[in-house]
Formats: sequence, C-alpha cells, structure tokens
Amino acid sequence: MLSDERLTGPRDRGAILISALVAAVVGGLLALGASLVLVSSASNTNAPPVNKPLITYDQK
Amino acid sequence: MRRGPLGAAIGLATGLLVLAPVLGRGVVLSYDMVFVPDPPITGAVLGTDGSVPRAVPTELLADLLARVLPVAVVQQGLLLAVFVLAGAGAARLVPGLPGAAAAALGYAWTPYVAERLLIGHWPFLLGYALLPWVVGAALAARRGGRLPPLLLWLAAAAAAGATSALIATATALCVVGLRPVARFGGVVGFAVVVNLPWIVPALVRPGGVPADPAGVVAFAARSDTPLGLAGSLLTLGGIWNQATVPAGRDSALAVVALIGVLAALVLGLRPVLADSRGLVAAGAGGLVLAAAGAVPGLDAVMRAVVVHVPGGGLLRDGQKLLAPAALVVALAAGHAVDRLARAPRTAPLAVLLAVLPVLALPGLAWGVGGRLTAARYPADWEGLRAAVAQAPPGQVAALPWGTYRRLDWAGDRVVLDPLPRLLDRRTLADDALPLSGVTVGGEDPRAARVTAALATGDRLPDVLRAAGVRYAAVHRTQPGSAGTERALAGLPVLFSSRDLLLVELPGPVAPTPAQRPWVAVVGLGAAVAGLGAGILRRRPRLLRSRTPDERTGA
Repeated sequence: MLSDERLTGPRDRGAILISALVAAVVGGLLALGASLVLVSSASNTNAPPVNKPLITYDQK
Repeated sequence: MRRGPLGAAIGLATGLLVLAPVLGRGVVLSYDMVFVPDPPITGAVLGTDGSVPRAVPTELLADLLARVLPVAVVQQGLLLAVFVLAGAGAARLVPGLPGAAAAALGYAWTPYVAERLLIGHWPFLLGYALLPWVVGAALAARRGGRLPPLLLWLAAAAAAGATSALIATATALCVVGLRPVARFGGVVGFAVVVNLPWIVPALVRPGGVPADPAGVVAFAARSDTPLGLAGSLLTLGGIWNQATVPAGRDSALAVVALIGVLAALVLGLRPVLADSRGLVAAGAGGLVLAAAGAVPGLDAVMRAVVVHVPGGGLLRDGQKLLAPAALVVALAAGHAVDRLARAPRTAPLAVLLAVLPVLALPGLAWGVGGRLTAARYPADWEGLRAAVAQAPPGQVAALPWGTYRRLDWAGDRVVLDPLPRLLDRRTLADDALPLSGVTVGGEDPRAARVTAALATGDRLPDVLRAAGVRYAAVHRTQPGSAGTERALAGLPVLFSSRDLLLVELPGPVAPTPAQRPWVAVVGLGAAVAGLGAGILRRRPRLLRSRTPDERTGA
C-alpha cells in the first residue's frame, strides 16, 4: 500500500466496482466494434500488391 | 478482491481482447517479431558468434521454453504475460480498488503497447510489463523493506534484454535514491552483474557495437497524431515507424486521449509525487529523452551519445524510453479515479476516466485492428532446415540479399527474415535497415562487405565465397529472387520447393570467425552466480534505510 487508504463505505465501493466493471465490458465491446469497422474498411482499400516492391522497415 | 489479482484479471481480459484473433492459430510474424518452430540454440542467442547481442538472453530463454512447449504456445504465452504482468503490477501501486482497476487498464492499454507490439519488440514489452514490479520493489526497499525482491525484479528485467534492463535499472535507482550510498551502489553492481550475458559479448565484440548516426534521425520519435510530437508523446505514442501506428491515432480520438492524460495528471499526480518523486523524475526524464532525437539542438547531443558512448545505441529509438512516463500516467489515473470514486456525485466521471484508454484507442483491440495475424510455417521450411542439417559443415547465406521479407503465407506482412533463426548454422544475412529514402547501416562488417561488393557488380557466388559462405538459402518469392537465382544458376541444388531453394557453392571459401563459447560461459555464469548471491545473501541492515527508531537508537 503506497498511500493512505481513503475509501468510501463498503456499499459505495461495491457499487463503484460494479459500475467500473460494467463500463470496462461496455468499453471493450465498443473498442471491439470500432476495430472491426476499421479492419473491414482497411481491407477494402488495401488490395494485395501484384508486384512486390523493395521491402523496407517502414512499410505497412 | 485484492488489487493485484484484479489488475491481473483486467490485464488478462485486455490481452485476450488484443490477441484473440491469433490465439491457437500459429505464430505471429510482425516486423522484428520472429519465432520459428523448434528453434536451435545458436551462437546468436548465446552471444558467442560475434554478432551484436540483441537476442541475449531473451531469445535464449524463449528458445529453451520452445524445447518443452510448441513455439506458438510460448510466443502467445509471452505476449499474454505482457498484459497480465503490466495490469497486475500497475494495480498494486494504487491504494483503492477502482483506482487499481484504472491503473491496470491505463498501463496495459496504451498506444505505446500497440506500436511496440506491431513492430514486434516483444522482449522490450516484457520489460515494460516488469517495470511496475521493479518500481514497487524499489519503493519497498526505500521504505526500509528488503532488497532481494528488487534484485529479483531487476534480474527479470535483465532477462528481457538490454533496453528493458537499462530502463528498469535507471527507474529503480531514481526511486531508491542515492542514499544510503551502499544500497545505491549495491543495486548498480547487481544490475551490472545480471546484465553480463549481453554486456560481455558487446564488450568483446571485434570492432565494438557501431551505430550509424543516420539511425538517430531515422528512429527519432515522430508525431503520430494531429497533436504534434509533444502531444503524441504525452499520449504515449509517437513511434518513429508510421506503419506501426494503430488505427485511430490520426483522428480526434487523440484529443480524447490527451484530455484523459491531462485529467489524470491534474487529479492524480500529487499522490504519485508523494509516493515517489524519483519515479516522476524518471518519467519526465524518459519523456525528454524520447523527444530528444527530434528536437533541434538536442538531436546533436543524442547523435553524439549514440555514436560515441558505449551502449548509446540503446537510446536511438527514443520513444521506447517513454515506459516510466506511461507508468506515471497510469498511476496518476488510478489515484484520480480513486479520488473521483469517493463521492457518488463524481463516480460516473471515475468510470469514464477509467475506461478512457480503451475509448481513445479502439485500434488496439482485435489484433491491433487486424494487423497481427498468425500463421504456420509451410512444410518446405522444415525441408530446407533438414537439408542444411544433412549437408557438410559450412556457413549459410540468406538471400536475396535484404533484411526484411513479405511471406504470403504469413499475411504478406513485413518481417525480419526468419531463416537465420531457423537454421542450426551460422547464417550470414543483411543486417542493414532499409527505410524509405535512407538505409541505416547494420553492425556486421562481413554483411557490409557483401553489400558493398554486390553494389560494385561482383559475381554473387564469388562474393559469398569471399565471405565464408558455403550454402545459399534463397527465398524464391521475394523482390530480387529472380536475379539471385540467375546468379546462382548451375550450382548444385540441395533442396528446392516453390518458395525456397538451397544451393551449394563448391570451391574454396574464406574462413569464418570462430565461435567463442567462453563469452556465454562468463556472461551467463556470472549472471546466475550474481543472482544467487544477491537473492540469498542476507545483508538487510547494511543495504536498507535505517528507520527513525534505528537512527535514534530507540
């Protein structure tokens, strides 16, 4: 423990923890959805190259 | 629930969210992240072949694990461990449960993690994940606790490679402070000893470890957001390689990230300062060093350090030095969330701040937006390895002459050539780093001579023989493959498939430098002995701070 414990009551703590977990799950699902959208849009625009160019470290 | 397990659970959940598309589907090959099936223990991972000891000892440990587990399991276990260790370590440093959860998420879910994951710097990510554990143990030691836990975590950071060790040791020293001098010196001495596995090969390497000054500019941090360099670094991104920036960083989400960082610092930095000014100083120092390569005036200093100071090359990819700053931001966010969560009125803000890292960087999810893919090596790679194993002794060259490949069976992503790691032979490969517009020179003088000879139009077989090469292993589907095959036409073919070719170069070849096993014996042996001595030896009264009671004799 690095700082003084300054906690709210057990009921508040429970509510905060549950809301944090719910928010984390919702946030994760949002992130998942957004990334899937980004993936699908990326795959639509990046067709595989026909001729491979010289490969450099900073190519995508 | 306790803070550590809560942080570990959050780290595991984030790790699964990031790695889900690749789990159980083979190995991930991305830029510098190369894993091969049944990796041989070569001179490169032991540091005995005279190459720059980048892989020592991290890849040695991974290769040893791959002797008992499938390599894909090893790789994915290591990558998941990054998230679990990062989450658990950061959570333990914040007092309240809500804050611990926020710190775990804030440290495991950053642009820094996304960018380093994509570019394949997995040993360094392990070091990043170990940093909060190092800091926790350093804080405990400073407060009169025992020193061995800190030494143990520093040894773990050393196992994660040179850069990880450098950052962990510097941060630990900032946290424990200069006094008592015996403790400070003890930490420095121990850190040197456990890092000998890579220090010894670097010290005795003929010609030292040269660094091309062009790398300072090429690998300087860059803006990866609309916020400029400062905003990009403050929001914990800013890698030099724009190709490894996760989706969304160039959008308004970067502003969301900046608001989150500023809110965390305004509301939560004071308790972090109260815990350890040294940690905040390490974070600020890392931020300055990360920017240095891109700031006029400071870039010249950085160039001088990289080129002239032994080990200075570790600083040229400056953005990686942001790790302590990322920890400070995560801990500040945790304290801020604890503070907001105390009052029901501000609890929703606490929740928002806690999940902001995810909302601001959705592109990290699902294999960094689908950019991490897993693959299994085709059977002909094993065929090539078997052919090399059956051939009489001799060095192999990886061709076409170039550092990076695009393997169609592995998603056609840019990846370091896996052949030198696959073959149980000394393998000569190009080690220059080609970028758009400039090539940063490598460190192997023999590879540089091959590059120079090929540039003057010398015949490929003659160039290879002069470099001590007996066999040429050729990728047949890479840029330059056709020309390479033409240059080798008529030579005895030992293996041939759609993608790979192995030919022998008959006739006299130049001798190759001998392996130096003593380098590994000295380095690894001293590190293991030092680790044992540091952990087992009991000198708590000398090395820990005296408590006020002890000072007064009470």
